[in-house]
Amino acid sequence: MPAVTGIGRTALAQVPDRCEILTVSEPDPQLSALSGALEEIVARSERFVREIGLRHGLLAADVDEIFQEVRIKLWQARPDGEKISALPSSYVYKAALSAARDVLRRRRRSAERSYELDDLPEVHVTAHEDSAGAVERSELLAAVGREVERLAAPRRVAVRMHLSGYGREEIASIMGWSEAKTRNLLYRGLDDLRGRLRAAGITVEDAW
Amino acid sequence: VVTPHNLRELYQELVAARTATTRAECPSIDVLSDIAEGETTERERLAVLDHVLQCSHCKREFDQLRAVAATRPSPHRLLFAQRLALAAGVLLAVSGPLAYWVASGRDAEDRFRSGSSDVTLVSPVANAELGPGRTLVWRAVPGTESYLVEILDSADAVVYSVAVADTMAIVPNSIVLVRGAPYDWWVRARGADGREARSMLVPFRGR
Repeated sequence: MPAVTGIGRTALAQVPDRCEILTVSEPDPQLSALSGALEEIVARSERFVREIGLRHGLLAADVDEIFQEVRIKLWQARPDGEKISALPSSYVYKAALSAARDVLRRRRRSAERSYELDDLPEVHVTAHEDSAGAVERSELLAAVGREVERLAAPRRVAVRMHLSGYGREEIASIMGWSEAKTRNLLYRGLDDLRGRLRAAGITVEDAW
Repeated sequence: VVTPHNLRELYQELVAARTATTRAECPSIDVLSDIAEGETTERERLAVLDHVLQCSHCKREFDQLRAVAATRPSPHRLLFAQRLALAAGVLLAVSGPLAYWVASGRDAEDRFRSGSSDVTLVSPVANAELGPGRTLVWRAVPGTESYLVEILDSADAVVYSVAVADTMAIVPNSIVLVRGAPYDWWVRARGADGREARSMLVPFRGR
């Protein structure tokens, strides 16, 4: 008769009534130790990702989902006899990145299925109900979009990143640019944008 | 009048409103992951990020991948930090005011909010040729400790920079400017209290 190991008595509460449980053993100490080591090694990486993610407005659930996947991957890939705590950090990193890719691919597939089911374009309702205000806002948005689009490529990306909330150091890090190059592209781009908006009748405060 | 802060809000509202309902145009997760890891060329990064920064779906995915990619254990990162510290030390030793300026530079957002007064450039004026004395002149900003002057070429590379206490700088003959070629120059003024003001970028022609 097979024993259910490594789950513990709490599992009883999750088992459907009609299922016949024959024996439930105490948690396997070896498995518990491995589980603790897994948690320890994952928690280090997870904490870091959570901190960085928060700065970009990522939801805690996003990080949770990725690290659930990391736990599963590490658990499945655990070589026999090898202590999980001895896994190098580069291994955990690769598992985390692979997990993130898997989670995002899954989400895309799921979203694509929902597009097929509900093949209607999304309607964006503006919060500005009064028509004059809404028209003005809409024209302003269109002008900003149009003038950003007209900037030269490297400046445009630097400006888009800045307007999206990335700091100058982050822009330099993502683009692989030096501090001086980032600064010059960003300020030239912002100056260009200000000039273009001014020509379009929109004054942007001169404070950058 | 739109403030720089409003401009950010407008841009983000625009991106949220524009985001497509299908992902046909979106780069693959693998491509986003490669960019987050810094594994692509600058050209690819520019092309892909131009889309990512206009698509809230892609931006969210990219930020997730970047948050994970930032945990990469890399000996190169340490070496880079060491090299950076060494370079900063050398810079401080040989060009104190300039290095101090660079090292203590605040990010764009700070400048956005600083509300500091601009520096007015006097000569060369917009689109003029640099004078025979190769002299750059600007107006004094009260309370300024030093000015950083930069000349940039059409590829946005800094071809000349110097930190001075005066309101004039002479471009040395060792700096070759192509006659008639387009350049920009600008000045940043730094006060003793750390506040900064800056000029517009003014285009001029080389001589």
